Amino acid sequence: MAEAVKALTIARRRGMTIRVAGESGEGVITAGEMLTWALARAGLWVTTFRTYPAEIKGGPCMFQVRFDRKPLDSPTGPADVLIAFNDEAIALHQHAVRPGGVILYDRHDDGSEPAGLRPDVTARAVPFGKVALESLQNRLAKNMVALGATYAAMDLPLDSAKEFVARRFGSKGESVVSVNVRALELGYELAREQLAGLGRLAELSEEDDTTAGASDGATGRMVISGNQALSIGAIAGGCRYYAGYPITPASDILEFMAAQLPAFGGVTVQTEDEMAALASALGASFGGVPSMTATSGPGLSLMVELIGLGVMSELPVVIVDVQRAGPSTGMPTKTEQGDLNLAVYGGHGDAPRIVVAPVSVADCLDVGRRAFQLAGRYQTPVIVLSELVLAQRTESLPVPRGADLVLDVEWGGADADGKANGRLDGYYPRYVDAGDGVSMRPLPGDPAGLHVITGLEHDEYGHPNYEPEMHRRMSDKRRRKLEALQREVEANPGTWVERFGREGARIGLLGWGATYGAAKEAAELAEQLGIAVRGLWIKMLSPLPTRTVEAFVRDLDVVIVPEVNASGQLARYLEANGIRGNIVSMVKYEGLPFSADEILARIVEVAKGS
Amino acid sequence: MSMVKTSALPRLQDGVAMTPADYKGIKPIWCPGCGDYGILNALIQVLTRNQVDPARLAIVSGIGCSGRFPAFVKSYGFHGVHGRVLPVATGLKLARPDLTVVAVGGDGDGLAIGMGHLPHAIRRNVDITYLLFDNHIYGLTKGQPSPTTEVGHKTHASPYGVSEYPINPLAMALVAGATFVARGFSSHTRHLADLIEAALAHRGFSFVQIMTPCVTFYDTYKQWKQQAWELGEDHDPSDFQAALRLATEAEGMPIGIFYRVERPTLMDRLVAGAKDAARLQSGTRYDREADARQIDALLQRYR
Repeated sequence: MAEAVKALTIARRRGMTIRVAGESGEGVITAGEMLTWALARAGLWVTTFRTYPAEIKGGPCMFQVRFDRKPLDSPTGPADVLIAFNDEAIALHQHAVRPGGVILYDRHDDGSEPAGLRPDVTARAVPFGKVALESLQNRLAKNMVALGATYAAMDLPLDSAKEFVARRFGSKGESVVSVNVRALELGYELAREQLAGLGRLAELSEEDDTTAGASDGATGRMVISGNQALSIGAIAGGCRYYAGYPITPASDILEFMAAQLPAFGGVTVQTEDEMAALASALGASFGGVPSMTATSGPGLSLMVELIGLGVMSELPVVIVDVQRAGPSTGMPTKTEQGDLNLAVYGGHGDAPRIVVAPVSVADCLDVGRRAFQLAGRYQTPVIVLSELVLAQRTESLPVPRGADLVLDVEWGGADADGKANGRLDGYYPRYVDAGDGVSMRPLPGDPAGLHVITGLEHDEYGHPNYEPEMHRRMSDKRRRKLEALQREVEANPGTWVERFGREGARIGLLGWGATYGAAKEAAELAEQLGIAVRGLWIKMLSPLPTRTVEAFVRDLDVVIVPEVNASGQLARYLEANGIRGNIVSMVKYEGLPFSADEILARIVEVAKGS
Repeated sequence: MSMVKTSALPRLQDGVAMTPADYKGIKPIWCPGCGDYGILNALIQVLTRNQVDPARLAIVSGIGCSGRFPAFVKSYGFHGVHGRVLPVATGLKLARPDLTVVAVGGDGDGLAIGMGHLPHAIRRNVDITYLLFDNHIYGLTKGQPSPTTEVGHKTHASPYGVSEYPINPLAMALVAGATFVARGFSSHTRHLADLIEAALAHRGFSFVQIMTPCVTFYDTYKQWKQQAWELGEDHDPSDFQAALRLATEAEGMPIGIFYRVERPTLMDRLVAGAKDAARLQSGTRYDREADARQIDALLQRYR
């Protein structure tokens, strides 16, 4: 049955998907990035997915580009075209080509065929490497030859590819640019003879309203990754201090901040470890400067003691965890949604904190900004759970206006005037509960605001206090801040959940993070098969908008919860939060994201059973 | 006096006068006779002498008997977790260059659990002062050996005597590249106050090891009083090799400024190195219009 669903998915799958595969070092990623950029430049909506080895050189990697005239939610799923730079790439990736799809591979110099080619695809041997070697004396240029051929097959103008080459290789000198441009042209010419009969490869949707306002191509779109979007969002949200320790797949946030923050009057420090990163971010935050650190699971494990300190001392800070497969060092270059438990519960004692999770590249920009609002307003650490596939996914998006992105900054500095009257030895009562658990927070420099903060249990003045009543009161205070946030979110659920699908459907999809795209596409495909599905993606995981989730689950016969982890962390978390219903946990733990057809298969199964 | 660039201490407005009593926070809870009282008094002497604005002074601490120190001085304070004093102080100073930031911590906090941070704080040369309260023992947890406890010393946790060799904090700070290295003794309060004053005025990372006996778990008063001797004019604090020899070979327990050199701070280098550091230099963190323009320019790169 899974095969039947797959066939249906493919028949109805929108847009076009090209997968480039080869050995790391063969220019796979460059080719993929170029294709992405050129397609976006041509006015199409593009989304991408890549896998690569943990080694610097060698090992198989691939870059998949999916595009259409309408926006796409998910880059995963079967490819229409596979461009294979070597025989191993064919062996590893031909399973991902749809029946009737095309494989373009580098022709063997002796003219022999690769072993085990699938019979249900059109395979064309094109002498990418040979042309590169003979015409340019450089076999490494074969990726450009292959790209040139692909452009020809898709009827894409070669100008955009040449422009990309100039941008990417311009700093390496004119000769590098000209060799690559020549390679593109050779591939373009080659395609006329070699790919004749394939026709135009791209069959795309008709343009419609969804593209309105964004179809102005070159001027209105950008191609950006999840990590880039998150970084820009953070700066727009007010981030002016960044500290981080290098770790895959979060290092490019550190690199981005190091390059960009000074122009905004901000500072970036690469620290000696993740504990120092978060500790220094808390120091900056105490000084009134919005601060952030980004890491992956192993780093978040190390940061746990400082998360507790942030909660106890009530300091705002933003912690980004770009999740990768764990436990321990795990699989640094493979994706997983495995850190939900750690993010929500990690640490000793009761340490309520805010946990949010973007669902798409566009959402990375938005959640990156709003995380700072949350942290500042509730004076507590905010953990942003991103994922490797989201962080590295490049996508075409309409370019927002900077003026619409920049948020007001609220990061302490409350007017302490008069509050220090009735002071204890001249200290400011930093932890007086204003009702919703949040206190005024004067900043160093304010003569009326002197206070000491501490990781010890303390009284309203921040002075250590272990009285039974005090621990109860302060524990309640810290929890009440999150209850206030929870009420706010329940009152405006649209701010922290995404919904899709059909009202009144009896089958539901419930999840978090980057599974959103594949799930939404699965729901759309199910609809075309006559199965009504609706979905709810939770973007705020702590505090959980329990009533919103309950209301969603209540009206459904069955709720499928797809997650990229082994234990079904969200499904268990829902149960722990008293969400009752016919919840079916669906887990995948292979280091790879879901594709729509996998989720659709489960929907069809469930629909037949009910 | 040499023409050394110094960090000016934030002074109170004219017309406001603070006495030593005004600089006192809540009542300290150390054991009677603890050396830490001497350090507290020395710091308060310095603050009073310079009429330091308490609102622009921030004291950061870790865990241990020294951890409560920030609450005992009238200023802003951050009593953090064990071993992370220097990263917290670094973040605070980089975010708020206008503040005078003093980090305090014990030999356990700074040389055991927090040792990984010390050489990095040193090589960053952030403009903060680190007072290492060294009593050669874990006092707050009741007497376990620390990284500076002598070999053979018996405690409940080392019933057959300490087997590890002690760390030499001054030599370590010197070879890590510290720009200000000194040792004081809590019993020589006036001398210590002068050291702390010089450390605060030093522009860059200043490291002061302060010998402070624990009367309850490892009483070294008598021994250190006999061993301590103040460095004189014959020591040249700009001579690195002399400082290193002093730290490793000297008889007894020399106290004073071992080494002092002027070098750009981390902030100096960040400002000098960045492509567009005008706002970093002027401290302009927010400017809605400029921010929006800058973000527009960033987004342009992805077109």
